Amino acid sequence: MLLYLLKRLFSLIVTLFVASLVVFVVLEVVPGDPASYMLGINASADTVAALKSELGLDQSRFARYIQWVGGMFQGDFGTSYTYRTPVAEMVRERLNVSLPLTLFALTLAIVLAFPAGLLAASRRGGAADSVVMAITQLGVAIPNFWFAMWLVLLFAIKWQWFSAGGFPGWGEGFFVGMKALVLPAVALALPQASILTRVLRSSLLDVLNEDYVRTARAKGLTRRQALWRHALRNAMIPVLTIIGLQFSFLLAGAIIIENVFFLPGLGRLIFQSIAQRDLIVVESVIMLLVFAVVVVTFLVDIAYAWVDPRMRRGF
Amino acid sequence: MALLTLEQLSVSIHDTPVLHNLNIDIEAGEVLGVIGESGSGKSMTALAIMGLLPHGAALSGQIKFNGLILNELSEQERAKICGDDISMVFQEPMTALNPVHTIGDQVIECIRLHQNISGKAAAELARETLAQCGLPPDEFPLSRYPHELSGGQRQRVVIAMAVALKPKLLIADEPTTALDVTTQAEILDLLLSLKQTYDMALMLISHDLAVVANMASKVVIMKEGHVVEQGPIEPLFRELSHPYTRALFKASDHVPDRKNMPSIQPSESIQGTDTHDDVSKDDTNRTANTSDIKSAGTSGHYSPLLEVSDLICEYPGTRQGWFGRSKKFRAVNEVSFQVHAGESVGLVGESGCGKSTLTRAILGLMNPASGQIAINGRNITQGFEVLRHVQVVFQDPYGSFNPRHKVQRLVSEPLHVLTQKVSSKERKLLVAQMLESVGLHANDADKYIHEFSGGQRQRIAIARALIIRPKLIVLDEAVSALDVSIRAKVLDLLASLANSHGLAYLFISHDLSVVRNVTDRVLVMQAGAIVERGNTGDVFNHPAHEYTQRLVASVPRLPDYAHVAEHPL
Amino acid sequence: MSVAASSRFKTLLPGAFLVLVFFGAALISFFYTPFDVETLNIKNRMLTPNAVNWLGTDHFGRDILSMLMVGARTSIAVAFIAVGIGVLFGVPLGLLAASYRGRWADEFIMRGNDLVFAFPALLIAIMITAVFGPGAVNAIIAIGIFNVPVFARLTRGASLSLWNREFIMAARVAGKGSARISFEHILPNILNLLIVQSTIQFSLGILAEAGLSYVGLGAQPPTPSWGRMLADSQTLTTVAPHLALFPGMVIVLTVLGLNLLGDGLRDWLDPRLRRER
Repeated sequence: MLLYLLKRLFSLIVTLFVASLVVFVVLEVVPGDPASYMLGINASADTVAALKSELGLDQSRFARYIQWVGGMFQGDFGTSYTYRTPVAEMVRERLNVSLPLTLFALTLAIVLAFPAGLLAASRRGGAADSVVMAITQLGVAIPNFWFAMWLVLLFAIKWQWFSAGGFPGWGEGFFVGMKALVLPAVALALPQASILTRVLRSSLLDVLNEDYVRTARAKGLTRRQALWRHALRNAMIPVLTIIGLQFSFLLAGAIIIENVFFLPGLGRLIFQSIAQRDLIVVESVIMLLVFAVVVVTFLVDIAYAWVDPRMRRGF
Repeated sequence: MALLTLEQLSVSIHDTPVLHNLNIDIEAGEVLGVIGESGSGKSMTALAIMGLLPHGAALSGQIKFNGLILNELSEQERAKICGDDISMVFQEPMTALNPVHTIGDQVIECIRLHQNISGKAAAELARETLAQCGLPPDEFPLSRYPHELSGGQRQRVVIAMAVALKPKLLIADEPTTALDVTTQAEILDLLLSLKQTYDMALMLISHDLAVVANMASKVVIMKEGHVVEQGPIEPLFRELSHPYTRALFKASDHVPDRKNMPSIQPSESIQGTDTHDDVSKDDTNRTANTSDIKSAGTSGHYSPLLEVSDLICEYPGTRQGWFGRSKKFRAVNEVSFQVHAGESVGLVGESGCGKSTLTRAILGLMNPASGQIAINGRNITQGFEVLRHVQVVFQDPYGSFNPRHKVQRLVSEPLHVLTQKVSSKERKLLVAQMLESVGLHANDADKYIHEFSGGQRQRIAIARALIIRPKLIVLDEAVSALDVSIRAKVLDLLASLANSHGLAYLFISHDLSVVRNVTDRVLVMQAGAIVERGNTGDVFNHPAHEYTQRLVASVPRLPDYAHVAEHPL
Repeated sequence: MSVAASSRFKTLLPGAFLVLVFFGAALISFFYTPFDVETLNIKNRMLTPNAVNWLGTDHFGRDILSMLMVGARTSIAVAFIAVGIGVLFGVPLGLLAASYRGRWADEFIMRGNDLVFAFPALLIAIMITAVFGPGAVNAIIAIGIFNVPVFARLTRGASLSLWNREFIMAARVAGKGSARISFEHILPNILNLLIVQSTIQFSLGILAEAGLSYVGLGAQPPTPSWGRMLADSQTLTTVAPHLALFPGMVIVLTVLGLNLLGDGLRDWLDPRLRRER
């Protein structure tokens, strides 16, 4: 068990290291010098050089990579080229929106998908199954940002239950903040909930065909009891994989959805930074997102071992 | 009144009838054997009793148990009976237990489902029952997971779940088919003793006549969803009046006609030697003695067709600790033997004894850690043209063929190994010839494999093996998956091909009775080593090694009163 | 009616029909569109559906039906090429990994896969855009890169179980090498799976392209694209909801069609599933 975790942890570290190299190398070849961009075309060569040395752009690429990675370990993401403020602060502020949004959406997707998937699987071929399958078939096909536009039109503009966009900040209270995230989270969660429902259903149906479910029935469990006590936990393995993948989809999807709702999250920050050639911010945000994805993958690996005792053995 | 009565029971699945008007009785405390080949509906009968028929099944008739009509009860009412009054043991112990729950939880669940007792009391009962089924609590605590147990041990857990509440009827569907022969004997003994202790009725479903004959007092013989005949076992087996029963008996102990057996039987005298050194020395001596006869047709130095010497095969084991060196698992441990042209050599052993690894090494599919394998005196590491004298027929008639290719392409595949190119016209001719020689039609070359039955597929596998005219065919459990009647025909085919093509066979099987009937010599393998070797008759009649003795003793035998030979048609 | 036939009527045929409609529309747009999509006609802006402009006009007075037809080209081309990239690189990598199962080449390929998986498609697109600027080609590359590990993993997983099958051993006994076995025996047997996965990735590609175009990382004006049309319509939803309605519906129907087609193909191609479910 411990060995299994250590192995996963090792692979996590390697992935992060290589990812940081990739991000750094790719963005290093970006045409356009941030210093001259920031100062405009009329700036003198001296001022550009001065700014370059202030930003650390005159050092060798290797030195800058070491500085960047070393800094990230200490929570120092460098200084924004555009705003001259610490990147870490900017990111933290934006993360306060993006992370709650992603987790909210993921929770919503799971909360919707489990009852729906269980219902469909236990009534396979029945009316409930058909309805769930039809809704999810549609849910999978709907682009979340388009869905979001209609949510805004209906719930914000027509009925005015929610605001159409923007974020009041957590300072106004938890529920005020959460309320602003409801529509974005619903928009994000619907397609993911559909996918999760379908995966859970088909995984349950696969497991229900297993010999040990038949054994459980022979012991005197009803179909439904066998589904709950024996099938569900075994069916969780593919479902966990999908939940892990969905986290990264949701993070990425949040970037788009933030645009619909004018939310000051990481997504808006990253688009702004690209437009302003503020590469250090782009690099840092990408690394942060990659970090989140890799950590979630690691957590999913741990969850495997928790669900399936066979994974705990040896390695 | 009978404990369980099936009255005019018929079942169809998606409108295909699978059971036709069955009428079967089981009295309290008796053992009823149900015998049938695949597709006979014997398992379906068990599932119908348990109410576990697959999706899309329709049932008519009545299943009466203890005054209740089971098939008219609701799911809840039925669930109360299943696992309490009637319980069931399945064929496949490896998949019958839920991998994510401990064995204790699974037994306790069964108990608490039907009895309102505390968890502690249930655990105590579970521990007791497991101990009674041969899993003592100090060695097999309730906290064990299924994957930590062997197949036989898992089957004991399944049995413990089934008998924990002392059912009135236990249905065992091929409970030992997936197990080794020695384990089979133990499990059958266990079932019989449990039956006695709890005074329960036992419905034993099996394809194996001998297993049923030794256990049951009454027998039902099924074929294609019908009851062929039923009654008390002794008169039925003694008289064999029904032609199907008689045919079943004949096929199950079929001795193929092997006319031109090698005139010189290799006179291996050493038996029961553990030390391979002596054996290989002896092999060499004997080779010297017989070489003049064996190589009569050829000139020069004689070398055996297949010579395996000091072979060791290893697998990487699980690593010990974080940086610990992995301990290698030695699957084949210093094995030496020879196969001579035209002879049939059996290799028997239980699962995990290393016979599959040995097969793979001989076929050139894995590299041995040390030792040599030579064919006609040439080491197989010299490339595939050496291996062209050896071909193989595998166990699974379904998995042995690429389902996307036609028979023409499947059968001609081994031609790849020849250095000469074979024109497509020649290929066609060869394939047609091969198909006809295995009893199929030349036209079959244009069909896909799914159009053939299991027995026909094994014939195609033999045709594929024959096409490059090998000297030796490795039969890796080649008839183990076949029903007895089809098995008998395939064995006949193999015997006649050996005669006409001068083939040698290396017959690898866990089924001792088949090996006994078709081989000249036999090698007994245990834990990676050959523990006994010799002429087949000698080894089976007078086993010298303790393991062989145990193996031979475990083989279920038909009772003396039931032998076809005494009843000529 | 048998189970297979009923599933064909429920999924395969409607799916194929929808897909054909949109592919057909994209093809026809090369020869004919009701109106020219590059001529602006401010006078006729934001018309609701009528006899002349069946689906109405946008804020520049362009005919929406014509734009959707031309936009279908972009969506289909981007998704199709991206799937092509995924198959072209992913499948051979997966076959290779499976034939070297357990050895370092396998490990190397799979860890590479994990690495790419750590970058959601959108992040790849953002990085490419940061370097080369926005455009349809970036969208193709980003979605294509994302598809590679998807196909590599699928191919490897399916091939691994085949490598243990007896017919592969029989081929090895016939002296055939790994590469030859991979193409002769493994590939034909995983083809169904790859076809089904391709339709799924195709539909995901359509969604991803729409998303990227929507945030301005995909096709650039004047190239019409469904995602761009949605982005343009966003501020106008209160005045002219049909501007957002039709492009969105077209995306939903195309994706739905592809998914139905994929499900139908899976049931139809896999005889095991044909019996159950």
